[in-house]
Amino acid sequence: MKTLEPLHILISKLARLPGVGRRSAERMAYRVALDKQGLARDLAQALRDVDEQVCLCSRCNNLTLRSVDPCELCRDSCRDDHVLCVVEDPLNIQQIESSGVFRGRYHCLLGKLSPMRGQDIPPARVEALLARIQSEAFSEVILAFDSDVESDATTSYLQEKLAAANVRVTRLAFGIPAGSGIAYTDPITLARALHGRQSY
Amino acid sequence: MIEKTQAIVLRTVPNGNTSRIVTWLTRDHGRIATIIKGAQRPRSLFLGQLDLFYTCELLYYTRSRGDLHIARECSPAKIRAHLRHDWRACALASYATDLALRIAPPQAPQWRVYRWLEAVLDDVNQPGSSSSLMIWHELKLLTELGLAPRLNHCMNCHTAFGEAATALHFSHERGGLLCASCAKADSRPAYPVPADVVAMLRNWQRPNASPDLIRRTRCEPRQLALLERMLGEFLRYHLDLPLPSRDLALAINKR
Repeated sequence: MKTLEPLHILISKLARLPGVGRRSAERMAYRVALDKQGLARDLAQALRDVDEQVCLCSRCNNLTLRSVDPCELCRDSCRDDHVLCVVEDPLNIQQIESSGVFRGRYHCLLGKLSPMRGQDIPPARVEALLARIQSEAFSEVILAFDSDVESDATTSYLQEKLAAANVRVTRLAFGIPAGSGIAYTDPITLARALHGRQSY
Repeated sequence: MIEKTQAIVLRTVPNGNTSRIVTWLTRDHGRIATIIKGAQRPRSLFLGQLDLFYTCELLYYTRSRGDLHIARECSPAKIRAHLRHDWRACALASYATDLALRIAPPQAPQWRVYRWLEAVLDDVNQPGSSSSLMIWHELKLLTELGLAPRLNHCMNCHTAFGEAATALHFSHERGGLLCASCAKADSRPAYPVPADVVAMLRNWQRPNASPDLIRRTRCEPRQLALLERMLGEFLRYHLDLPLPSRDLALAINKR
């Protein structure tokens, strides 16, 4: 129906979001269209605000407001200036922050080596990371990536590129997930957990 | 109905907070997709049992309606751990998996493609994989599909080319080599190919060519660049596919 074209456009745009299929997009779009409480207007305003006000931090690539660039984490003078945590996605920064353990600086690479997903870490992005490590004189770089094959390969790529930077490069430890047990642990994790065992 | 088969993980995407949809290339049933509910939970039976490029023993319930089945159990048969430490090889594996995903139609047995992907992943899982090894596997795939480029005679006038033939031109649209006069007369794009590159391709097309032979072959940068172009255009034209992952994987391998 041509008259419903705006709805179809909304469905196709929503379906581009990760984790949202066509059916879910339809449900969301119809919910927005049927709402009489101004949901569509509020949603449109929120989307416009994100588009206009949110950007990537010029120092660490975290999400921040255009008016707060560098971001709050980069400006925080109480943080440890010697340790840099490199992550794939700004969302990972939020997750590590919620652990409350890490007090150093962050750098987000905005992707990993995954040709099939059309993702890459262009050399210029690695050079920007290297330049930051040199200019801010970090003594340790933590590579905090997931443990899937492509993330492991990305970690090995960065490790190779950072070898010349005269900085200690570490990565997250592997182990049995909290709340799980040895019986449920896969061979790779178990092998890595044994290999990386620690003294009490 | 419950099915048991060997399957290679082609893609995994999150579904909700803890579930995943996994696309597999199975040995017996072609490309299928399964949902794994609670795959990310700490006590999930699937946790760590599957990842990209793994070959697994898969047990799944088929659904008569729709094409999303339900995974019941899976255990890794080959984990290909070298790919975790070799980023160049991982990029090639990623491209090969993407290619298999694109050419295998859903739920139709594709044992040739399965066998091909299994061989590619096993080969790039060895130290010393390179772009030339991938190009050789592309040639093998085209041969398996009956689409291999013809290199022994002119695709237009059918003149046989000897070992020492020169002034040969390659036309991906014509499906192989053209002699100089046919290339000049043909309106479709064709470009000259040096005799050493043709000889290399002919050697690689031989049934007894092995991954070790390819690893031992010294490929100059100009030869490799031309082979990449020839096979890339050939694949895109004959499989009718865009292959962005190919460009990316080959670019990553040049770093």
